[in-house]
Amino acid sequence: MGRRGVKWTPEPGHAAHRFAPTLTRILLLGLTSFACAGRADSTFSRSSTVTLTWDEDAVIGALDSEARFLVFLPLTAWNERGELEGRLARSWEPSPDHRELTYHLRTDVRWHDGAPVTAHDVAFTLKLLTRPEVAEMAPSTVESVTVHNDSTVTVRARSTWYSDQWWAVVLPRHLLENEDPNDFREWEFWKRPVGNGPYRFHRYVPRTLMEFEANPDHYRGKPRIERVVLKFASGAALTELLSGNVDAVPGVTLAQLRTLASDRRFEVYHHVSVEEARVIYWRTDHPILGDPRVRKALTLAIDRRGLLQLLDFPSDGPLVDGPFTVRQIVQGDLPEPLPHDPDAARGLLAAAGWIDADGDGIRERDGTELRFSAVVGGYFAQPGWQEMVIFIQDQLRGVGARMDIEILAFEIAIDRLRQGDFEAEIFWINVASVAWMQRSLGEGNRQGFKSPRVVELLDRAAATLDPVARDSVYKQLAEIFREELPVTFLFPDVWSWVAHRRLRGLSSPWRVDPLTYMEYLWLEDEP
Amino acid sequence: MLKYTLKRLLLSVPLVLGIVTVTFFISHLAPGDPMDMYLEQPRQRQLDPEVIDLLRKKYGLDQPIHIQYVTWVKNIAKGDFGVSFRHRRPVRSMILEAIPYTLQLTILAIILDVLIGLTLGIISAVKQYSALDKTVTVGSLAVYAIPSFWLALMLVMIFSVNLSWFPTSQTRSMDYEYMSALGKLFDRLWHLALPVFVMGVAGAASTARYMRNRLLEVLNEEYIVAARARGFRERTVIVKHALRNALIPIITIYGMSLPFLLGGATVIETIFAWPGMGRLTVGAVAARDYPLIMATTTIAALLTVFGNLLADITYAAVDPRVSYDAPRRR
Repeated sequence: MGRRGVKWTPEPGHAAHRFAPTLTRILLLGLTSFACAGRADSTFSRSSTVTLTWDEDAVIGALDSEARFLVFLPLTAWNERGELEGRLARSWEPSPDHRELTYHLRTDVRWHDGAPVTAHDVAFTLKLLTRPEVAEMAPSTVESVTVHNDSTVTVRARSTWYSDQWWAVVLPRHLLENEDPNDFREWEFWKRPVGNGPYRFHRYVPRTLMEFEANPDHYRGKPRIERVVLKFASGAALTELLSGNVDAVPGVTLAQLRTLASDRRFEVYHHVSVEEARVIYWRTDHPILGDPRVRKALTLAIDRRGLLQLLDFPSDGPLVDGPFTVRQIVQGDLPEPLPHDPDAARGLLAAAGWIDADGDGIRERDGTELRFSAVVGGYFAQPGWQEMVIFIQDQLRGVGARMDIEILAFEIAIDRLRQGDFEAEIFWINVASVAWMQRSLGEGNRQGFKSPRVVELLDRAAATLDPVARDSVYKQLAEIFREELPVTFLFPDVWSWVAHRRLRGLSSPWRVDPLTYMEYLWLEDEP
Repeated sequence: MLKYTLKRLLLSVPLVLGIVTVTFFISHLAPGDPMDMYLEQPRQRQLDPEVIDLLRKKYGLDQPIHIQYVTWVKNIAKGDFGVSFRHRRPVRSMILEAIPYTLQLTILAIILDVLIGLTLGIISAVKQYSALDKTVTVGSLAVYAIPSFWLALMLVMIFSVNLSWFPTSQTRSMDYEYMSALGKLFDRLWHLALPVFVMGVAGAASTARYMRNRLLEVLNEEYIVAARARGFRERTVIVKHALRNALIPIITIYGMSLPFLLGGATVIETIFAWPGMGRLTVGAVAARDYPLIMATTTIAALLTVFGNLLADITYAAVDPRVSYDAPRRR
């Protein structure tokens, strides 16, 4: 008996005949529901709603996310001129040593549930955030908080207060005082926050979105954009943007940037970091890199504006050679950066005894090649880093220096940096964090840099709360950095947002983040 | 069988303990400090070293490693996986939130895989060397060779970005809560369509090939020839005799897919911003969130152990020739 295929025809009365009409009806009903599903009672009006992709975990209980500025007001905030301006605080005055700040609060701000915002809320928030169980701010940050009356509060701070205050928003005491601080991040409050800012919480759909509506009672007037939706789809940000489902996405990579820059629907905005810079740390007790002339020559050899161009960042952005404050970078109060001057670099290397005697393109001195390795951590895999590192390697080779690239996992790179087990490391510096700079360049630092003057200035920076005096300390630090070059500053870091052109009011480089500036933005539908 | 199962369960205890131990020590002996995410990570608010010390104490990182290990084992025995360093939330709550989403995806993907894979495999075997068989063979090989992330991205670009037929990501529409009950059901299915299709089709390609080969082997067995010689209809021979036997190893394979059920599909969940276990694991690895990494690894290991056990038990249950009971002494 040969093999044959199975031929099956249902006989009359078979189950397939009995169920076919029912199945057809279910299918038709399903298709109809499917067609109607997206339109039923929709509250969305694209002309008045802005949708952004954001990380859910950066909304629920995360006070350090920009999303907090939609709902909550800080006491003060940086403006586009790099100055602190009042938000919840109408005015404030420092004590002569700037350790005490007395805030006079606005009396026209209310919590979204109608309760008045008072100085007791400020005191409650600071005490809450500095509790060890909450561990949001160091307990020693705030020495004391004195409430004089409902609208006046004095905060006596220690050194880190100054740099920390920008992010601290005020929380409602009347809703939170009985909550358990041990469960701070688990509070239901974060899922339906009651704030005092330009937008009110409207609804939260777990794993999907959080929606806010314009607060008609906002002290600066009702924001022009009626609704803001944070769509928790950060992993699919690019496709959401391309599909027209969202209006703006943060953290755009270089590859995405290049795709989107050519799309007429979108505008790319670049924000120059006021805190962080990409740098090369040099091991200053290294036999080659220990010579400041070599470090200076290597710095002069790198075309930093060319590097910005290569990464599709604005090439006219600020360049620095040392630490800077927010005011200095925003106001452009920075010294002229070292130029890109390969000839001067070659001259300096020759003066230091480094000559290419054998004609192989790499300089030597006493039989030693001008060669070192640079550690690059796991971020090498991030778009833009590979191009940046190869560009630097190529530029250094142009003046006769050979930089080998050592690509390591982030943890190992950090470990090597901490132990001083490196010759050069391409990494970040956080100039707003004096603690970071002290680790890198202060007493017993990990790169072998010995400068009692820098140690003294960093200690002063940590203790100086007067912004003008602090600027002065940073300027002195920058002068030493420019001469000694323990670190080559490549450029202040750049973050990019891409927004649909209908979202208006954003501008590079200081008004880039729609979450922070939502109340200043508006929508204009394109014809 | 009961004795065998109990024995296997008992043997699983040291195995699981070993896995937990290895996971713990690999995580803790790796270079770097878990608190580096707060100290050295760029683009994040720099925490005061005093706060870091508080967190270190809070998470028990100030204790010697053997104390940390004992605490960790005691806690996971109670189902407590600690607190996520990154999110500062209990890992258990995060996992319990993610599991339902992963199960929706993986169960439907397995159903699709079974339906398509088995059907095509059977048709292909029954109609061996026909045009249909060749098409199925080439098609399944092609789909099997396509990386699922590429297929997912292509489908998103075509059906979501360009045609707007399907959503690009997430589990439901933004106006989901305003929909009717039926609307909600279809909205969920609409969002499941692309990720389930990618996962299901990728699985079905290998299932179809496996099923075809297995069924062809069985169809050449003597008892099939005997059944045909006895005059049974071909459909009866295939469905009642060949298919049942061919399905035994397939059932075993599905038994071993238990880790996949909860482990999720990391790539697919990431592409579709699906808030399941896979995406949670990817985020944990990217942020070096050790408690979360250890928890997801431990769960995956446990599921692998029990998946194997389940497969062995199922194998014995469906195949009467297999017996795990000790042979009787004569």
